[in-house]
Amino acid sequence: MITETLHHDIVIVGAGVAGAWAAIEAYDAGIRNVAVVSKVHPLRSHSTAAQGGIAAPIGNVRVPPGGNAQTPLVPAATDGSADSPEKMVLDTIKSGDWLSDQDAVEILAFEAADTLFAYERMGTTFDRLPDGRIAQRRFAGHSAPRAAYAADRTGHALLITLYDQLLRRGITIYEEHYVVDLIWEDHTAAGLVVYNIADGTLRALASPTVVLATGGFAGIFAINSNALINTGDGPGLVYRSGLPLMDMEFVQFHPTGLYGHGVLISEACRAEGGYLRNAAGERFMVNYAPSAMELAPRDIVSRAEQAELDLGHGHGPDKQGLWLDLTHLGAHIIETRLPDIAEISRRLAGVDPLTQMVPIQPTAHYTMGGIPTDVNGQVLNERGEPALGLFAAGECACVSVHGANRLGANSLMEASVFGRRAGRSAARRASEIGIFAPSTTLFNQTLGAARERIQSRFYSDSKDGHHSAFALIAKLKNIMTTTCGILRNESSLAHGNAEMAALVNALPHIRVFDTSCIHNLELVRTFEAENMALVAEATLVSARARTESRGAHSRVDYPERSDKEWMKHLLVRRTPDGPAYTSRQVNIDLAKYPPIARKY
Amino acid sequence: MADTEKSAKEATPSRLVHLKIRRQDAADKPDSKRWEEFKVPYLPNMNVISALQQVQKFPKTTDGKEVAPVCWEAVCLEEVCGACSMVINGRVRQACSALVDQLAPNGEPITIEPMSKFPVVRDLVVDRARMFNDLKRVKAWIDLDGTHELGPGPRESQEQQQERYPLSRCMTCGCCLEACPQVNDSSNFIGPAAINQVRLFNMHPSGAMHKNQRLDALMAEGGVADCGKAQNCVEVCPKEIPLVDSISVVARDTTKRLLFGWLLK
Ligand SMILES: Cc1cc2nc3c(=O)[nH]c(=O)nc-3n(C[C@H](O)[C@H](O)[C@H](O)COP(=O)(O)OP(=O)(O)OC[C@H]3O[C@@H](n4cnc5c(N)ncnc54)[C@H](O)[C@@H]3O)c2cc1C
Ligand code: SF4
Ligand code: SF4
Ligand code: FES
Repeated sequence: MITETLHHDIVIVGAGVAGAWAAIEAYDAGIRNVAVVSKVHPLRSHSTAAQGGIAAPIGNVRVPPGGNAQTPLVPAATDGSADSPEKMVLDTIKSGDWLSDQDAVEILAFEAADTLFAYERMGTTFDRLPDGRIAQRRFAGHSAPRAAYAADRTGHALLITLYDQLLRRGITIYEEHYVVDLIWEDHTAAGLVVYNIADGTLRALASPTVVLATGGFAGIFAINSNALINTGDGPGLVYRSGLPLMDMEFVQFHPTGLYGHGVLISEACRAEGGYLRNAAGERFMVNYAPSAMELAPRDIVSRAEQAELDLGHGHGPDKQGLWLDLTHLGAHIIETRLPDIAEISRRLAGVDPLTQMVPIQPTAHYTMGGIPTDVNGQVLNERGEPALGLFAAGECACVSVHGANRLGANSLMEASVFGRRAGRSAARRASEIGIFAPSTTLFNQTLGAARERIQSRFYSDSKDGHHSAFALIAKLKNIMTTTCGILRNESSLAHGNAEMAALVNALPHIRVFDTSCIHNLELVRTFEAENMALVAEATLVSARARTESRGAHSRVDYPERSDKEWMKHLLVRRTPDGPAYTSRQVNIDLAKYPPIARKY
Repeated sequence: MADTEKSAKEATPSRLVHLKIRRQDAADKPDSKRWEEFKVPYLPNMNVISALQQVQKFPKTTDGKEVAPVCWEAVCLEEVCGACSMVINGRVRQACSALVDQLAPNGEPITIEPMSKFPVVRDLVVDRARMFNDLKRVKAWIDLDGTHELGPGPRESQEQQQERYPLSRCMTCGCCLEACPQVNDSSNFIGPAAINQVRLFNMHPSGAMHKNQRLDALMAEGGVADCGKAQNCVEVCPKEIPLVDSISVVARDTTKRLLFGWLLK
């Protein structure tokens, strides 16, 4: 294994929407030696899979007077008066069930338009109105039609736009490089250790600023809508450094994932009038939300589905399947308004939605919690002080915009707005520091330790007492889904915590059978397993500690939201005595945003 | 995505999926090229990636040999990231949408090979760097310095957006290059994907400012003139991008530039 150290002024981990933006901004702020590290080619990053839209309150369209949720939208006046950032702030705080930090939400809403226009100028193929302005569509929970979109491939359109700009700037990209460790010098970030997946070389990147933009971690659940690579590496690195993770108990589950697969079948299937049925063919929503039925918000529908499955009303070998029935809609509606859903059903499940019901189940979709930061992307410790040199943005971070429940279409904008801010903050720090000369011994030691750790992963003795990363990850996901899923309670969480603690202890016993240095995915899964286990541990600890139900966190034994006790963020960190948590008040002006109950 | 291990054990072992996989240990080890066969338990809705995941977990060939896990690339599992292109039963396509039921309804062996027009990294993993370099070569971007406080961009008609959007769906999967007879060891034809990008960016109001530079990149050797119009590319593109139309448009523009370019100098 060859080792060497390379120097940069800013290193960004992740090339999704958040990481790519950070790189562009840092470069444009005058820092030329910017490097981006990504464990897959940037264009494969998970952002590319985002579908429905990106929220910005520019008010290009409106509902015609007297119209309802189904009325076709019409172009609005060009003065933007049809929507406002203030409305977006209110919608976001409401959806977040009063756990969002107001300063972050306001920045999101007020910087959204500028960010959207930047995409537009860089050539994103947004859908258009007849007069040539950007079209917008409705999104559940937004009080105005606010989501700009490129058909059903908004994430792809945004990501390719940003990638092209990285190419244009000639920014260094370490593709297929996996970040193994953060390097710290005097409690200040000093760089990273990266493993080149293509050829097995290990390198240190020295840099006075590191930006983490590693994406979400819904991949810790057995059924999820995320890419294979969403394993919580950034939060894992931070947690291992003794820094806290925040609001980890809040995981959004989407009601319509493809059964046994998890891939998302978009909200549109319910909006267009699709029915949900249990194994007996009953439209079970009648028992949970008799007036809204299938159109109730995501979290409510997911909870109803889970309750049905818990009653044994599911289909399939594991009894975890339900049905999405579109057959009554007719060919016209399905082919013209739901073409992507029809395509996914046919291509990924081999089911024709015109004549057959589509097998579905709820799927883990988005992680609201993550690495705590301030509004400039600066990572914070448990006392709210900066962890110097370290920044984070996008789904891996928690600023916190989404609070207890993310509003659809807000996350692409959040990753963009705060990715930009993190890039600018990093640039400021890099120029303040100027020449950076960390201790060479530190780097050699860290690299040496990383190399030894990797080498110890390969079998040197018998297989007894060891196991593969694949087996461990399968077990981990199973624990998360069965003990910390949509509906939680003390006994399930106590059980989950105990099982996860045992699993964390088993991490050192993972061994890698594949001895090749070329594209050794088994070794990469081993790195990932560690991060997944730590992130899962933090999630379970937080979920058990929060004895209330708020947003996506639903405790059967504590069904009410308790503002008196729990209007605060939970921060978990590792201590020598195991995981410990502290809390921090939510930053919100309650006179301006008085808490109301979310009822549907 | 779904972890299939648990359900694999529950499935009836009677039905197995038979895979014949082309392997190679490293780029510089052409001698290690070989076929290996695996049988994995069938699962409902299984696709080639979920079958390969099973092989990865229990890499034992049909003749009982324990071997290194097979390497492959896949990220999104929903045919949008472009990572998982492979040659499956002789046809290049995305493995994550290649359903076992359709490929082998009666348990026929499924053959899986890496794409042949790119250097093999290991097993089914290939190096598509040339595609990303070609994006640079044709300047597949809008020139914009600074991204702040610019206000709304130029308006775009719905007609133009509807023409540009399908072109922008390219996920650099490489299927079109794999299928194109003109892309081969003895030519340096840039291939349809990059030509399509030229059309995409030349249509954009700001992108058009560098139209000629992009055309110039395609007028050199290995440029648009090398296309033999075989149309294989369109047939395999998973995103159904009208590649031959793009090639015709760009070819027309390069011809115009060749004839009248001097006028504009
Ligand atoms: C199916 C689906 C549909 C969605 N639709 C929408 C939508 O319509 N609107 C919306 O607003 N949001 C949507 N979302 C959410 C949104 O897509 C994500 O929140 C957002 O894309 C996250 O972007 P990101 O830049 O933070 O991370 P990602 O795009 O996930 O990028 C993470 C990056 O980090 C890199 N990385 C991770 N770990 C390492 C490591 N150890 N070493 C090196 N590199 C590493 C990866 O390679 C990758 O480049 C959707 C999500 C899903 C799952
Ligand atoms: S039409 Fe041109 S680019 Fe497409 S396959 Fe044929 S030769 Fe290749
Ligand atoms: S043009 Fe089509 S086949 Fe070619 S790389 Fe793009 S998506 Fe793939
Ligand atoms: S895994 Fe992304 S296209 Fe197949």
